[in-house]
Amino acid sequence: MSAKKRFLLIDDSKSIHAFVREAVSPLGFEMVSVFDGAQGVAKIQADKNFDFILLDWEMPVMDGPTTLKELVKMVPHIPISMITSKNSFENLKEMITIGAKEYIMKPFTKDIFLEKIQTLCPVETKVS
Amino acid sequence: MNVEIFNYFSKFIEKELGIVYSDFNQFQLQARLEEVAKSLSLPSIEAVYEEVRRGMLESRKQVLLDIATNNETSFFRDKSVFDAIQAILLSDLGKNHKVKIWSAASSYGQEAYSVSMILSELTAQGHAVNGQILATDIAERVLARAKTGRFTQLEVQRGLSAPFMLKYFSTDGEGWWKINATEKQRVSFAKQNLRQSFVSLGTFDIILCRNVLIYQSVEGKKDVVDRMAQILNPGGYLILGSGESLLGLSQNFESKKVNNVIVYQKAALASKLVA
Repeated sequence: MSAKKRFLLIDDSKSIHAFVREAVSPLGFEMVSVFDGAQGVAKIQADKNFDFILLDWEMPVMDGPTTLKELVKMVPHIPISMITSKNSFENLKEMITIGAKEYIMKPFTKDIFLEKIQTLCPVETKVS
Repeated sequence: MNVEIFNYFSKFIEKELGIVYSDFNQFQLQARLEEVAKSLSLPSIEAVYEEVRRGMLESRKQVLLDIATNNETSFFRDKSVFDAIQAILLSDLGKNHKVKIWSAASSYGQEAYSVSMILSELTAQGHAVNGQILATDIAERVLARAKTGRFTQLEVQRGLSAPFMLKYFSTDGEGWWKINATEKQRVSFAKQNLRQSFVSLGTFDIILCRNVLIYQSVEGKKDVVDRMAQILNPGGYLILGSGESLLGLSQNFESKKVNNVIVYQKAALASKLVA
């Protein structure tokens, strides 16, 4: 794996892709974008070289919870965070139980987003 | 906001709270005064000033003081400090003794509740450690919120990992995240102006006074630290913000590094100080 950190964003909202791209740009991360869960699963089948994954809940073709279940089976070592407006305790519990490591609730601010990214992928950690 | 108004309010706030607003943070004061105007249903800062000049200062005083204080905080703000607090709780200080902790200028209680969560974590790990936390703030509206143990979605996301949110909070159906009863019960709240006597608060083993003294003048800092030394038990700790230091402020403490965090331990010999 290269030293440059990579992550996969699975979200059908182009504005979220734009926000995330801008927010992480100072960190030098490489962001790979797909727009539904099926694309996300297909991407991971072809390429497992990611440091973390951000996953929306409500998406066409394959929704977030179904995608999460698939990804946890395929790449249990890669931390996954939901990024969603499903904000109840029950929603959070369901996703953490399936295997999500983090949960970013919309709306959020840039500082909250970057803090969660830091939890998923500490910038001090050298990727070997 | 013109110079006359800025000078008036900055002097008033410094006199009442010791918080110094100067040219470099004029915009911060302006933003806070705009909030004061809004909460008093007045159209502008100038209108607030006019009211105060007409002799209405007393009735507006609490609103001014509430809003002039800085309530920006988060759970586990500066994680390394909480690692140090955990190490202190596991030291001799926490053995066979209920550790008394004061979170000074507590805002909505995130710092106090974070310490309470650490106590729960340590208890769950089998450590025989027990603690009680007093959280104080000058602002009544802030204390009223803090006592409820309820936080907005944005607040709860600041500093808390998802597993901690799950473990220590529940939602109430109205969008609030509420801290669980066990962690809430360890924390009590009281109104306290740092400029006034601490004697009624009792004595403590750990005092958290982080990012508070930066707003005080040097003399104000010395005064607060001296009085904190008086209510700190021998061997107890004063913990300041990461950018703050006791250098040149007090002789009552020895600086120590705990988990790479500088903390200030009150010398046992200083125990004779009169509160």
